[in-house]
Amino acid sequence: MRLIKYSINKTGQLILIFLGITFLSFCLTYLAPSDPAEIQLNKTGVAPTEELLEKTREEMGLNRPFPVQYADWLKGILSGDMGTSLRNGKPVLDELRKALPVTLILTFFSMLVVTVLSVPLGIVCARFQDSFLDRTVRFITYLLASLPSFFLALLFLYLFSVKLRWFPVIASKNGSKGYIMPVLVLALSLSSWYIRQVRVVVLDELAKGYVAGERSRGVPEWQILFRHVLKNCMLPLLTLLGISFAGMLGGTTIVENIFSLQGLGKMAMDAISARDYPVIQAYVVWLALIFLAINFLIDLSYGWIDPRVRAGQEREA
Amino acid sequence: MFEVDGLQITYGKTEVVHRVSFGVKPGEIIGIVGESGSGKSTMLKGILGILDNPGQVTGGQIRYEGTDLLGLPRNRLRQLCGNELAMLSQHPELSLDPLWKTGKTYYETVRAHRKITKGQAEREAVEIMRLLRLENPERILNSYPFELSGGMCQRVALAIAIANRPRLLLADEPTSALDVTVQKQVIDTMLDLRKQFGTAIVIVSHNMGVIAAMADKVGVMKKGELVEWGSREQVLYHPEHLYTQKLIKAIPRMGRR
Repeated sequence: MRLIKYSINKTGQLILIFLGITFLSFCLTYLAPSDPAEIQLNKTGVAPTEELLEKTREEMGLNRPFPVQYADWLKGILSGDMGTSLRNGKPVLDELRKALPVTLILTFFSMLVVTVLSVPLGIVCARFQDSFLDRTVRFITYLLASLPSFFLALLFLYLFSVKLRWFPVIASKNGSKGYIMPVLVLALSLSSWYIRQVRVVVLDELAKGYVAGERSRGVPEWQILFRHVLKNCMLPLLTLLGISFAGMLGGTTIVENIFSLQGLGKMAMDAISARDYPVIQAYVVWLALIFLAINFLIDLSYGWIDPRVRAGQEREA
Repeated sequence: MFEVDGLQITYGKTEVVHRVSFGVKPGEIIGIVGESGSGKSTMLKGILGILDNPGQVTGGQIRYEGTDLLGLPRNRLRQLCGNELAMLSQHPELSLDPLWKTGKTYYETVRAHRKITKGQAEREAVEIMRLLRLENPERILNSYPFELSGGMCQRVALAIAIANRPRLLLADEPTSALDVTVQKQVIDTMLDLRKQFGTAIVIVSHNMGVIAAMADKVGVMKKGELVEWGSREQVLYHPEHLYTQKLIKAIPRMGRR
């Protein structure tokens, strides 16, 4: 019951933050020096006279007071109408719908590989600190972490597409198989960081009193690692994974570009370089939603895992 | 029953415990006293093999019923720990997993050493807590460590430590973090324990008062060495070493007979 009350309070806060973010993003595009009406006219190839510009602005509703424009836009968003793209005149929602699955697939599978790879490896490295395995893994992750993801992507392309011809150069032309390389590139460069992170978190945890306590009570080592340490590590790890997850859902511009995938990152890049404001705004709304939703989920999971946090949340509710 | 023989422990390159030897008979209470940093706690941790990195036992023997614990395979040592040899630490709230209810930790400890159902373990836990004069055991077993006071936590930790009726309890500054009134409760509880089950206790403390109230035999540690050893009367009233005399002088005299 209390948890429900907490969730309702929290949701109220989130709505406020959401309004704040969208308002700011709307302000920014409003303040930007380029004129959407001019872009619109340029695109159709009409020479923009002052008169024509004025007329276009009126058609696009650009000369109304700012708060009215914002309210109008917000109403549209809430009813699923995000306006039309200035670039190609298609509804922004369709653009989003086209790019979203690509990003979702990339994110989901990359994060899956990252988790499956880093959590067990990090734990084993921490448990057997300074062993041969630990040192080898640390060396490899160090190497990988110092390679930028675009370099890794190009290396993969060269190796697996050009030399070995296992995968096509243009990922989107090859259905699900096209996703393998981008997912691997994303997962590997992120894992190199995560393995070290998990290792550090687990090392911290192993030094805590309860681990010595469990040992002195004769609890088997694997039980200490997987029932106690892992659960205690969940809190910091979930936060990190959540942030990465949200970041990736915002699009992975570089990798998408290199593998010619039409994901959100590519969509955002294209929209920005074309000053396609409705698309940019829709993208900002998406980013805000994702970050808020994931933060909310992390908060909830904290309460779910840690009784101390739960007690605090109950007081707050 | 239990002998520590020439125990040496090093941290990195520095030796912090130098060739310490003593013996414990069944039901005996040994008090080890010394100022902070004299290697007392390190010695206890070394005995159960739970030294923090980079601590290491580098020499000597720890014999329990004739077998050297240091030569035991990991799993054999694990079977002894929490079963025949138990440990009570200075910060009980830190020695319990913060995310686990104390009842679950209790069950886990019992389950690590014998086949038992949850219900049976719970009945035993309630019984032991009654023995330790803890009120409302059911509520305590259903609480997380952060929901309990320090003294309560220490007695819960004690209940868990003796869940399998150990023959030897190693207590590392068990009262230092507690209020004076609660200190007395914990001391009385440990004395009860010996009376009821004949548990031998090695208690380490920098508090001469606690040692004087409990121990049959007293050892004095200074800079990793056992400088004095003898019966309580001998050490308290006829100390030989200058350091011991200094420690005894430092006991607050208030309210003493």
